[in-house]
Amino acid sequence: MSERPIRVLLGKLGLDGHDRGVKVLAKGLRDHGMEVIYLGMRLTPEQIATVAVQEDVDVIGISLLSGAHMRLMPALMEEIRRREISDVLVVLGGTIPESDEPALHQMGVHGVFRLGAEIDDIAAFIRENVPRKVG
Amino acid sequence: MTQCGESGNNWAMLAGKWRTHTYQPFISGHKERCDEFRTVSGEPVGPIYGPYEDWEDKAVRDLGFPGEFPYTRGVYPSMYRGRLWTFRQIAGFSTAEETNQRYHYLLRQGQTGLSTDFDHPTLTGYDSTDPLALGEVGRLGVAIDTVRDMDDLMRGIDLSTISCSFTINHPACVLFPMFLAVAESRDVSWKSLRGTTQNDAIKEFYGQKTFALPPRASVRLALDLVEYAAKYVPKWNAINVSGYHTREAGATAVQEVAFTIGQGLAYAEGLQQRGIDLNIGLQNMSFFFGCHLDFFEEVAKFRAARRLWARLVKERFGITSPKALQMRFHTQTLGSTLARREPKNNIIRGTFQALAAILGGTQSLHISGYDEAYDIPSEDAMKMSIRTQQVLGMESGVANIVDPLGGAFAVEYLTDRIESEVRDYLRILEQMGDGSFLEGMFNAVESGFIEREISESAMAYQRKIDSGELPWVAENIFKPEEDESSDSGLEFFTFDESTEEKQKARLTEFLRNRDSSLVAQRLQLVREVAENGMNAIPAIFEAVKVGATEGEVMGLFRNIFGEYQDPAVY
Amino acid sequence: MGQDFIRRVTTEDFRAVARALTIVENDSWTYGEWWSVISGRLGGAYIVGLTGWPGVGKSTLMGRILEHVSPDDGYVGVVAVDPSSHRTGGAVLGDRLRMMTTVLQPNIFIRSLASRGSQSGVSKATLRAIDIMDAAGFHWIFVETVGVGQTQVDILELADAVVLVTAPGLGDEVQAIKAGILEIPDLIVVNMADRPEAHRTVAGLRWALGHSPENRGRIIETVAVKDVGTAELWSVLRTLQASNASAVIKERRRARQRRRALMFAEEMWERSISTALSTAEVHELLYGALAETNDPYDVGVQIVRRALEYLSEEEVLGRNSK
Repeated sequence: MSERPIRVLLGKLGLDGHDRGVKVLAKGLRDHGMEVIYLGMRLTPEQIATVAVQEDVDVIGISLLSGAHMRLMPALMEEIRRREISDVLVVLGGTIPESDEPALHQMGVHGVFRLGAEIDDIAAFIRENVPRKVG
Repeated sequence: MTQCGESGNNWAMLAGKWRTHTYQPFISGHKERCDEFRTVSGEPVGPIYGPYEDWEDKAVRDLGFPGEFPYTRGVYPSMYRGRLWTFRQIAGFSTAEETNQRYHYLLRQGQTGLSTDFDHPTLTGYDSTDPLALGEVGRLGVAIDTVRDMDDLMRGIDLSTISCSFTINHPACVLFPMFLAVAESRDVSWKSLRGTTQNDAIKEFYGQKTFALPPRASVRLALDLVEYAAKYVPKWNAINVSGYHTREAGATAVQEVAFTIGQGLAYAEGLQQRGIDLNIGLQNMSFFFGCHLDFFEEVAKFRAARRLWARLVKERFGITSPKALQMRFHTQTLGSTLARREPKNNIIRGTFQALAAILGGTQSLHISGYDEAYDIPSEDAMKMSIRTQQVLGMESGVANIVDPLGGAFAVEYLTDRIESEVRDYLRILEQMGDGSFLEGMFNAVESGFIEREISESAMAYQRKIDSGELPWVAENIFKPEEDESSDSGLEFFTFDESTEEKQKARLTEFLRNRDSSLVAQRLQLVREVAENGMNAIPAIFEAVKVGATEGEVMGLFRNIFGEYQDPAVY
Repeated sequence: MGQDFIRRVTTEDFRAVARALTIVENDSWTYGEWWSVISGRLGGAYIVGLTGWPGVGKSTLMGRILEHVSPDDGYVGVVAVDPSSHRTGGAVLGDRLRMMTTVLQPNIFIRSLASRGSQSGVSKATLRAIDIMDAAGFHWIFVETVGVGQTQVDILELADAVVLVTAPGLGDEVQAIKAGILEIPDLIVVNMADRPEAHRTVAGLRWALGHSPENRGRIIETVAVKDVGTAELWSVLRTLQASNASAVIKERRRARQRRRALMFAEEMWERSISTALSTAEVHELLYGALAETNDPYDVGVQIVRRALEYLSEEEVLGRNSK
């Protein structure tokens, strides 16, 4: 079986409307040969996890500039666990203080990217860490 | 545009000679830093600019004099020689009581106006107890659910002398009546109230994106507020047409001005349709721009915007009243230009961005905190921003000459170019509405046209940052080896995690003590006026006064007008 | 994954459906392996193709239709196809973003597919996806295509009913119908019908379709963003589905079998050719052509012969051919 494109779900949790970064990332990952299912903003953890199941994505990318990551990410990780799709790679980007990073890793968030992160670095991280599913 | 004159003009001839005999040979030996120099927005710039062939005619036609049409050089004859711009650092976090303490701190530091940031649930019209508000209550702004929160927010503030600005849009029709109710309860005359409600419904769909209602419904309520304020709160700037968030979303300087003016013309049309004399109606309209890193482009942008607005409203609506022709605006240095690495560098960025806004003739100013990339600003960051403004205004001497860059060839050239490119965009917007800007803006929003334009610019900018074509010190060049914020030695804002529970408890207690059947009655009245098309503000005022919450009123509107589905263009 | 897995793929387990879709999207081999299980379970779904030029609001319309779906309507699946970038092979799949209001409804399942290059590739992967969902027990399957033109013809072979979505002021499809280029779809939706020029589009379509009462009912006006006309569209679709046994449907389902046969043939052939191309013997032949010692025509013939040998000898597409 030939190498298939990596499927990435991208979206924003909560009421935060700053979608510039996530849109730029959507196009950037497309340019890195990935298939991005772009879900937009104002999403709940339950919605994200439901879509992740149906789309059988390899990666869930969440953008959060609202500072609410320590409330919303645990809720998302719980939804992911409940649906038994814990093999998905979870990546978080936004205004995330370094001090929150250990706790985020602890709950299963694999990658944390802050403002100023380059798309190439994010794409490389995904490529290196994505769990390849056997077809 | 004619520039540098025709043959026979001595200067033009000499300039041509300089180019061929001095400049070209020099740069072939001493290569320039770039093959092509461009502004942050991507516009090419040349090495020098020289006088226009009809220099004196142009000075009369396009510059004029401060305080006179077309207001290129400023809206007031003496500008900052009379009064400095308003130092207006925005503040808002946690509960009303905590933000109120920050207000008193800022006033003690010499701030001259107040400005409020609201949290996401308040901006999008949900109460703090709503499930959608999870994790965001009081996080990036203050949580305001009821008239009591508004009262606490303004505790100890003399509403008759301090001007108060509210960065609130679709729910402005609820929060402004709350503010009026507080003034009434303190026996402060509405006629003395000064300040601003942002209330710019249209830009919410592509700029800030904290919309709560669909385009037409939100514009209707926004204009209800304008109409009401014009009658009862005459000094209030009921609408603050904003480009800041559009620029922050990735627009270029030209796009920022074009869409902002498009919004302004749309509201003007809406007011005219209501039979309001725009000579009076436009006096309560003010503007709000961002300030990016490209110094001359930004100075030119402000001057071009001011001139074009005066020209357009004169051409289109036949406005004669000077106050209605004048574009008065607030400036905030763009948060997205501030770096996360080595945050102290942001103090320098903020300083020259502020200088560009001052040389562009701003009426009030907020310098984004140097810690913007981390969290909401710390007290120290806000103090630094005020100090920067004070140094610029009082020590540097830049405030003593009116429009000191006026007549600088390069600045005039950039000003002309921005004006002309903005006009091109406005023609498209007008065509999209078959001659109407109001319809044009609705169509441009619903079709995703504006979002697509912004999104393409954002992508282009990101590519230039990623490739290093646009240098960003300590971010894409001179990157520090250690990437630890703790090394900066700065203290950042720490959010009190108990805020959400505190605010929810406040709200629950408030709801227990109000007269629920009276609230229900008043809300029924709001529903009736909303459905029959009358001005909704008086009914909202009566409802919030007796304790209706923001979420209740906005929920009612969502129920009547539907929720907006973002076309989400990327 | 063996046939045990595909036997477990039912609407009771969306996760299994999703995984099966990933597999057949990328791998026709496993699909061939599963075919004997799948083929026995096909025919329960009513397949609706949603087609039309980009920008007419297909996804928004689809989202609105889903809002009218009730639990009594059974399981509803959507396959939304978006184009891949020719340059990078990546894609931004944004269709389902316009279908978020019903995301938590337990009887609705949406899957985004990227077109990944060739037109015929689109229809093959789409056909396999439809089959998986049909076999899983979905009652409705909507397929939202990339555009019209070639795929319009393809969708006629994949779907039981075709809905052409158009918008005022475009005219392309209207012209195509007038000129007899496009086969007449079962329904034509004029979306954005609140635009001033909508009546002209509708009149043009009426004229093109002729004035029989049956054809008159084929045109439905909607304003998807305002949810106008979409309830009617859904009810018309349900009426169409109720006449499931009609000769037209049978004809279309036969056409789908033909399509599958062609797909199997193509896939088997591609596989045999690529197996042949990977042998040392063929490499040598090709090197000879490169060095101008072998005639390219002869080399071509020999490669095909090798491929044919593989096809008769080897296991093909998931089953042993012997």
